[in-house]
Amino acid sequence: MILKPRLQDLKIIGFYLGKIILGLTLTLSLPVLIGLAFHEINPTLDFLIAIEIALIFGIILNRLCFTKDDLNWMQGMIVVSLSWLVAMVLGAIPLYLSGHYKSFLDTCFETMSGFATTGLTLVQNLDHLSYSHNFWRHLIMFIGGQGIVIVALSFFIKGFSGAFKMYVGEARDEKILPNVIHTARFIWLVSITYFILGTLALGITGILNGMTSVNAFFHGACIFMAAFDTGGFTPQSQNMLYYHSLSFEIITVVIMILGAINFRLHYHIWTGNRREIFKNIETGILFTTIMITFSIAAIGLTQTGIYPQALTLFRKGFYQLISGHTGTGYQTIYPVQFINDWNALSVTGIIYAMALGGAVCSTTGAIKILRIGIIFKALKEDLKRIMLPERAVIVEKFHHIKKVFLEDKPVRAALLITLCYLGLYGFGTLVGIFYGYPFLESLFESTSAAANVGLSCGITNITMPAGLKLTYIFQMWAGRLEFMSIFVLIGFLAAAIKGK
Amino acid sequence: MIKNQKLKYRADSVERIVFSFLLFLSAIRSTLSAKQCYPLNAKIPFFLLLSFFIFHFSLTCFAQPISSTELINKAKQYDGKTVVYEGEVIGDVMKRGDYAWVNLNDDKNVLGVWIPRDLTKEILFTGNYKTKGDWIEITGIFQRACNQHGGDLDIHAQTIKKITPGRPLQEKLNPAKRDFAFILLVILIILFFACRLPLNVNRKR
Repeated sequence: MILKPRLQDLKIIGFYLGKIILGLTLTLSLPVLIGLAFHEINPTLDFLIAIEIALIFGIILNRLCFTKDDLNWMQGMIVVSLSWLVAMVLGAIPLYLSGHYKSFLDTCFETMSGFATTGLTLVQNLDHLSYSHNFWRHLIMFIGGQGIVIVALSFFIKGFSGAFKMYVGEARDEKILPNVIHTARFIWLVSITYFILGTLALGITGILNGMTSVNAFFHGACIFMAAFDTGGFTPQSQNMLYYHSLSFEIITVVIMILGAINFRLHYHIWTGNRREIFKNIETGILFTTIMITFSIAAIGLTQTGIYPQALTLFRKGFYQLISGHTGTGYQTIYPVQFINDWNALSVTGIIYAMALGGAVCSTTGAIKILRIGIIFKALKEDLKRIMLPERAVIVEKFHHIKKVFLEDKPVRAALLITLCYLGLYGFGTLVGIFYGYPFLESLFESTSAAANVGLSCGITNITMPAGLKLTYIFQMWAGRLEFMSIFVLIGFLAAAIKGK
Repeated sequence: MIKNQKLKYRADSVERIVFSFLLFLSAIRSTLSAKQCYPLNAKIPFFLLLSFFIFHFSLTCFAQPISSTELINKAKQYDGKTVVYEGEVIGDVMKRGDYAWVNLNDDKNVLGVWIPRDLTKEILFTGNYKTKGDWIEITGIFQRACNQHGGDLDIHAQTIKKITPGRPLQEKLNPAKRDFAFILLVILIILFFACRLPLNVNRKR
């Protein structure tokens, strides 16, 4: 028997949702400062309007649903899944008011793509977008990469036991420090330290490449936020092609890889345990999958003959591959070139890379390499069981921060999530085919959306059907939250309708 | 490399002249073959008109600007050819030694143009939120995957012509947005005090 949710459940959900909205309000004030600094009148007003709307909703929810009760698992998961939808709508307000979007749906697509660190974009005339709106597009990637709830946990919600439930709901099942709030703050510390270093590196490179100092540092900050959080937005419509710079590409590759590494690994590197890099299962698998997928892409590119020089082939092939594997989505080729100039084999290599993703507890999306490692270990264990004598005791272990013995529970979880991702990639592909796009292009774009990558082969544009836009929004949302909180929300809605 | 490209460009120009000349010859031939059908006084204007159209067409068809969509979608077809492309200069003019990168937006896509630094002196405005950039036309060699620039799709320009000068864009306060922000502020203030009132009552109790 399904139990109908109680009023108290709704109150608790509403109260914490209100708190997260108030947290978002503070982030909306940062573009206001940018707008004031660059004397942008109307963009500043756009953000003030968004802040006021967010405050009104936040205060009403906090007031109407005031409670001192803590969250349970179900409520925590629902708060997370709903807060991402609410953030999408509230974050879309200033962008919609900018007049650079065809419809509010396009703006919601943009903000979901930003928060989920995907990087697919529907903005029009990006090259004339104001600094403040552009900054907001990149800031939402930074917020989404850390996790919307992490922002609220770090600054607005003082320690309470429900914090961990929301933390898990946001697809972060690994605690770096014993306390979730301290974990959230550590993630911010790492991100902000890298932010300063990355912005400086990109800013100086920009100046050396002939950009004005203001633009160089503005672009540096934006590119860092999108690269470290494996997002993929850029301040100019040409994506990374705008810079025409090898040094820019090298720096962004380093930042993308840093973003794809587990925050727990960052913690160990920071605390002096550098050997962990070489011992960790994730590092080894990431290296192996990069090599395999790059080999596939490189063979394909050699067949096409588009890049006759080895260095050029490496530069183009490796950049798109790392961008896809880390889930960033930066491109140094035009989207249609994937279809027109690359062949099916090279595109398939990129699709594999996108589908695998980076490390768990990082800012990447997709299946994630730890799960791939666990599945392979389980397969190896089963093979051993068949091949060795029945009496043999088989124990499979791997190193992930500490020595971990392979048990059935993590294997089951890894397989389930992998299956969900494969289903999600397939679902988007089917919808793409339904709307008349070829199979390979549909698969490419669907994998890119569901794995929160952002590489595009040209399907994503303002003229694509609304149904496909909604599908990609759903894929980005489900892919970023890794399904569980969304399944709980669906179950909650079903209980509200059918429950007794 | 640059020298090779210049040679290629000249070769393209020679091709164009030879092509025009051949068309011109074919026009004479076709006019002469019309001798039996038309009297001589009717033949001369016919000949002049035909040769004018052929000349005009042969010279202008190469000078027509090609859109970025056409260039990107049919990159293989245009690879290594001299093309005319026009668009608004956006972002920064990034100077690199004797050359510079200029990104031109033709309202559909943006293409990177590698251009001799001296030619960029003409560019006074670059497009951004507060500026409409200069609209320029360039003639140069289109590359699908330029070996000199790490496989980028670009154009190596030889000539530049300013079509429309850019200008600063005046930003005016949008009164509708201002009024809406003010109304929301009033609602927010009312809400703020409305929320505080019952709390105070509770405290007194």
